[in-house]
This record gives sequence, structure tokens and C-alpha cells, in this order.
Amino acid sequence: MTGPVLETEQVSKRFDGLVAVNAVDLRVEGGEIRGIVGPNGAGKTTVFNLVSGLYRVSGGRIRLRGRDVTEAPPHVRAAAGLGRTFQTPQIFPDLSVFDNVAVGLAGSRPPSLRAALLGRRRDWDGVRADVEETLDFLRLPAGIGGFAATLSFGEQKRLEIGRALIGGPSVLLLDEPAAGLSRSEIDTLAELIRGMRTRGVTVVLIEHNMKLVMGLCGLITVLDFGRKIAEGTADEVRRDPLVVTAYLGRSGGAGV
Amino acid sequence: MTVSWRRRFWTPTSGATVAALAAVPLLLGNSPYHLFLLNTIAVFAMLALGLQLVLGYGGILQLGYAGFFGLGAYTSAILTVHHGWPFPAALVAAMAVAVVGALVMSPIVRLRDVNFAMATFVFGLILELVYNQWSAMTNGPIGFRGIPAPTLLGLTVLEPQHYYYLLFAALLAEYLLIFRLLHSPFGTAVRAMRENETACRTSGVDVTRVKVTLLLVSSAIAGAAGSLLAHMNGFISPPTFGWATSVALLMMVVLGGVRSLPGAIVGAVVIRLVVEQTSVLGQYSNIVFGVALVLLMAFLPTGLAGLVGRLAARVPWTGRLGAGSVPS
Amino acid sequence: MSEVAGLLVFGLAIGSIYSLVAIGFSMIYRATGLVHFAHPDLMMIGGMVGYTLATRTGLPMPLLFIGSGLSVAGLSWLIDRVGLRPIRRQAALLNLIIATIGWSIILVNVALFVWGTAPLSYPEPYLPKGRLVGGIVIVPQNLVMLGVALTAMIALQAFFTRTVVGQALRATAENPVAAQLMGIRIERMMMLTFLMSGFLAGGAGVLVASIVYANFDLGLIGIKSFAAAVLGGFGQVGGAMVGGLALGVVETITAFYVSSAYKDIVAYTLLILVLLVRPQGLLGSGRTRPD
Repeated sequence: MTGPVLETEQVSKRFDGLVAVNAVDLRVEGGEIRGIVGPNGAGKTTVFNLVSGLYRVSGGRIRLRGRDVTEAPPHVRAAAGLGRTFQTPQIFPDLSVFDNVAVGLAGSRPPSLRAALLGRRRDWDGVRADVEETLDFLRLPAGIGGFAATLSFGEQKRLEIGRALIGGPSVLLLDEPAAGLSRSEIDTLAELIRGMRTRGVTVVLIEHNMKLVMGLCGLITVLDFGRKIAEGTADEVRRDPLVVTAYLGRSGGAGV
Repeated sequence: MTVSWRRRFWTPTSGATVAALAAVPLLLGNSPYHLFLLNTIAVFAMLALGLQLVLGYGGILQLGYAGFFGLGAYTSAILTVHHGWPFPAALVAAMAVAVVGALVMSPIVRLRDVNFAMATFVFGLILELVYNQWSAMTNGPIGFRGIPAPTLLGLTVLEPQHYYYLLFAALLAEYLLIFRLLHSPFGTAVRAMRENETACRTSGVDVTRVKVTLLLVSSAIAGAAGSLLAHMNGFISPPTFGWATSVALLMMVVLGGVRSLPGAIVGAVVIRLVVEQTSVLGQYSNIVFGVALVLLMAFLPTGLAGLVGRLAARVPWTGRLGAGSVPS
Repeated sequence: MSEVAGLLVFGLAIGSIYSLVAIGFSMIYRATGLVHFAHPDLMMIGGMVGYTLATRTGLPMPLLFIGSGLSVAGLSWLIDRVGLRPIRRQAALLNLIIATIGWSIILVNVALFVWGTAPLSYPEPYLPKGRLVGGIVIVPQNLVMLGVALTAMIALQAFFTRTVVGQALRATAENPVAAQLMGIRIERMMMLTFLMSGFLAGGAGVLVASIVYANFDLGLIGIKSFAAAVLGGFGQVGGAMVGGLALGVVETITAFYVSSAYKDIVAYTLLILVLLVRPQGLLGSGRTRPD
């Protein structure tokens, strides 16, 4: 594959005069595990919202595997190979675990009414296998039943990743995947992310857990006040004076 | 483990229920009033199911459903009476017109909840006004009479009992169709959409398309019900297809319990019976109705299905109640 | 020429009635997220109460306006306190809508019960004496209506922007949590919302009923105010004003040049068309989805 898997070109977002994201350039190559860090309010999640299509850009372009998706609605981007999770796991509490993951196939196999009315069996072919395989990969217990609401927080987060993963995305956006997890869960998470890379999924994660980011990510992009202020390997970023100022100059920034 | 794709409709409970419902006319003997009531209830059960699909499962605030009911009724009436169309063709046309009506309205699906609700409300008003004003087509407030009894496969359905079986078949077909729909991947998308639209969008679900599809399907159902009503009564008039009926339908769904298919049918039965009975109370009936509505919303927001669910939870051996109730 | 001017005045006058009710409607929506289907019927009650006041006491018009306004304000608040707030806490939008529909039915039937079915005309001194301009009776009353309504709207605007209470009300509607954190008493604001919108509806009812007649059916006119609110941008008070006036003018012009029977259809269809093109209404904030 030539060219970056995900690219944002001078992307900006304005909310009634407040500039949340300011001309951010991002080029993520296939096979990367990219980290996006920055103090609270730096605009990281806003960038994710712009990339996944939940917000419209005020300026700039967004490209997914070379294809311009700047005007495309979220579901089209998902079908084009973009997966995404949220800071608070956005799952379907009253649906079963199975269904929660199965929804992730909607991009690659759009659920159709005609199929629903005519060919019930055929409609579900292969879905079960895919769901079970995904649940397995995410270390969610085989016999797991019941509604998603009954799962633990960590399990819900993995469930959400499962939904994003089952569609076979090229790029997976993870928004603070480690937040609220225990030490061992974080270790599992790191393994899972590495496992995803092996499967050919490029991962971009927003994180405050610096240890995780430094250990996992090849390249790290640093945002502050909606702008990209640094980009490089863990070492380069750690030593960048701009980055240090950004974090030390703010109360509540996670220690580098 | 709940694996939704293997849910089956036919269980001992559902089979027994269907058999019992099929036998009802026999119990009612020859009382034309009761048979008429039964048939009317059947038509409204069809409507309630359709509304349950779009409103209860889809979360789409369709406040003008009776208007589509009317589209079907008038289309069927006009085609059979003025143009000599055979019943089956008129029935299909009725559904088609209703669907077209929904298509016209469908861009509104993009709107926020409330705006959409108001738009459907206004659309229902427009339709009711059209039925009243466009006398050339609909005969206006006087109503449209002389609608022939339906002729299927050479047989003309004249007896109310036979009409019941026609309605029963339609109702059963509709129920099965909706059931199957809800248990397909499409159905999963619908249920997911109701819980978390944003998660659906980023997972690849074209939420707008799903909502429009639900709207169209429910409108087709309303159109069919309209045609069936028209040919059953031989006479239709605008008030049947106006706001009051839309309200009654909303109540059927809410009373039965949102997202419960059997609930919608029970709701239809109860509300329809209530509507018949309250005319007995005379002057005070409507106030009682209004008060009942408010109290119902205050004390029984999850409807009868919710009530049954809560009671069943207390009594362990009742197990899963009701064939065809989709868990959530 | 004076024909068009007369139509315009009439249209604006009717429109201002729609606006008054639509404003109340929008206020309630903004503050509570509730679509209050009983609101138009509050207008109707205002008209009926005005009739009773007119026949029993013979008070001058402005006092009728205020008297009805106050009574309906109280009623509006009472309905919320007793019949809606308990439901507001837990329920889905649909349930709330149905509850308000229930109240609508109650109000209509209470009116039927108390005042009977026959349309009641306001007594002589209140009746408009007007001139026939091209088939429509233009009355000085229209100008009065317009004047009163505009004054009310201007006063409201000032209230919302200049006074502390008004700003607190807006803050509550915008973001209840933040408002509460800033020390604003939410329930007070809700109460104020219901009182104010009730007052407007009651007053509007008197204005309408004095020209047309007082009858339990008056709520149907009020339903147009829904359309007005949506047209202008649901939840925007300014939008409700614009929507109401626009609706009144369109309706009147249609009635005159096309057909009186079809005026409603045209008005509603216009609304749907506007929504299709501009889903958030004429003045609505530019978002169809939470951005």
C-alpha cells in the first residue's frame, strides 16, 4: 500500500468563534501505532470526531487510504475502513454481547431489508463465526451471555473495540483506551494493540497514560490548544522543550 | 447464551395463542355487533403493530400515522369504485400510495427528534385536511360510500366471520414479517440505533436509511390496513384518519409497552374497547379518558408489557412470557 | 393598494396571535424539552375566561387581557406541577407528549362542560367594528392586537436580555446543569416559564376570542402556533415571533387570493417545505445533529 492510511491536511474546527482544532496535519502510515497526546482540552478528541465524521471540518481535508472523505458521513467512513472507540465506551447496554459486536459488521455488510424479509439464514452466514473469533481475540469469555450492561467496565471497553474491529478496518481510532483500566488490563490492552498491528490494522490512540504510549507507539503526535506542536519518536518528543512547557505550564497535565 | 439469530416464532405458547385467536369468531356466534367490533379491533391491531415498529423499535416519533391509514383507505376506495379495479390490485396500490406519501416526507428524518415529531404531526394534519377538502376525490366530510366487499380468488367476502379470517391472515402475516425483520441483522441495527445512534454511525450503520426504511414499511402497513377497513365497512370518512385516531394509536403502543409486539396488540384491544365503552359514560367519558392518559403516563410508563415483565420477574416459574417478544 | 395593506395588517394581527402562543410553546420547549400539546388549549381557556370576565364584570379590554393572562398562567403552572412534573422526571419524550395530550383532552372537555358547546360572542362593547376591505373585515381591533402582541414581544425581548431574571431563564434553558451550579434555582425558572407562557397564551386567547368567538374549539387555531414555532425554529423565541407573523400573512393572503378552505393546507405545506430545505427552521441554530 502506498501513501498514508490516514491523512489530515490542515484540518481545522471552529465552534462559534472558538478554534478547537487549528490546521492540524497528520500522516499515519500503514502498520503504525501512532500516539496522540497533549494536555486536557488540546483538541485530541475533536480531531477524532473530525476524522470519524461526527463533526464537519471548518477547513482542511481528510483522506482515508488516499480517498477524500471530508464530506462523507460517519457510516461511509466506517465502511471505508475506519473504526473508532470513545472515551466512555459507547455500547448498546440492552443488547446482547453478540449483537453488540455484530453491529460492527454493518459497514462491510449493510443490513438490508430485503435480506431480512427473504433469506434469514443466509443473512447471518458467517456472522456467528466472525463474532466469536473477535470475542476470542479480545479475551472476552466464550460463554459470555447476557446484556452488555452486565459487563465490567474493562470488558465493555474491549467489547467496544470488538465492534470496531470486526468490520476489518484499516485504521482504528482508540480514544483513551486505558482510562479506568487496572494494571493488568492495561497490559492486556497493549498486547491486543500489538496483535492488531500484526493483523494489519493501523492504530491511532489518544492517551494520557504516558508509559503505555511510550512503550507502544512508534511515532507520537503532540497537540496543544488545537495545534500540533511536536511529532516524533518517544525520545524526541520527550525532550522537546515545547512539549515540556505545554505539560508543565498547565495544571492537571499528565506527567511526561 | 442469547444468540438472537436463532429465535423462532413458533413455540407452544405462540401456537396456542394463534389457535385461540383463530377460534374467537366461533365463540362470538352470530352477534353482528361483536363481530364488527372484533374486526375493527383486528384492523387497529395491524396499525398498532406497524406503529410499534416505527415508533417503539425505531424510536421515530411518528405522530401522524392515521394519515397514512387514510391514504390506503381512500386509494383503495377510489380505485375500486371509480375505476373498477379488483380488490387485490387496489390493496397493493393502497400500500404503494402510502409508501409514496412516506417517501415524500422522508427527508425530514434528518431532523432532530422534536422537529421531526412536529413535522409528522403537521403532515398528519395536512392529510386530514386534504381528505376533508378535496371533495372531488374523497367526497369530503360526507364520506365515501359504496365501497365494494373484497373479492379474492373469485370469492366475495361478505360475512363478517369470513372477513375476520381475512384480517386474521393479514395480521398474522404482518406479525411474522415484523418478527423476522427484528431478528435479522437489519433488526439488530434497528435495536442498536435506538440505544446509541452515534455508536451505530461510527460502526457503519446508515442510520438515515434505516429510519426511512422503517418509515416506509410502517406506512405500507398502514396503507394495507386502510384498504382492508374501507372494504370491510363499505364506507369511510375523514375523521377516522385524523389526529384523534393518531392519538389513539399512540396510546395503544404506549399502553401495550414500547418495544413489545404482543403488547401492541393488547393495547389495541384495550383502547378500542375503551373507546367503544366510553360513549356509554356520556359527557364525562372524555374527561375520564384524558385523566386516565395522564395517570397512565405517570404510573405505568413502561406499559402493560413492562408491568407483566416486572410481575414475571417476581414469580420465577413464569419464565419467558409471550412468544415473539424481542428482549429489548 | 389599501387592499393589500389591509390584508397585511390582518395577516400580521393573526400572526401575532400565533406568535404569542408560539413563544410560550418555544419557551417551554427550551426550558424543559417538552412539546406541550395542551398549550393551544390554554389559549382557548384564556378566551373563555375572558368571555366570562367580559360578561360578568365588563372590565375594559386591557384588564381582560391581564385577567385572563393571570388565570391561565396559574393554570399552566398548576398543570405542570400536578400533572407533568412527576412524569418529567423519569420519562421518555413520547410519554410526556402523551401526557400533554391527555391534558389537552381534559381542558377541552372542561371547557365544554363549563361553557357548553355553542360558540359565545363577546358582548357588544368588545365587538370589533370594522370596515370591509375586499371581503375581509379589517378592524381597528387588528391594529390593537398587533400593537398589544408586538408590545408583549418587545417587552419579552427586553426581559430576556436586560433583566437578571430573564437572563437566568435563558441560562437555564441553555444548560440547566451549569445554571444550577451558578446558583440559579432551576425549579423557580421552570415555574416562571410556565407562568409566563401561560400568561401569553391566556392573553392571546382573549384577543382571538373577542374577534372570532369563544369556543372549546379554539385550540385548533392554536395548533397553527405549533407550525409557527417550528417554522421559525423550534425553541427560538425570536423564531417563534417570526414564524407566527409569517404564518399569519401567508395564511391570510392564501385565503384571499386562493381559497379560504385551502389556507390551512397551504400554510402547513409551506412549513413542511421550509423544513425540507432548512431543517432547523427559519431562525433555528444551524445544527440538525448535536454537533
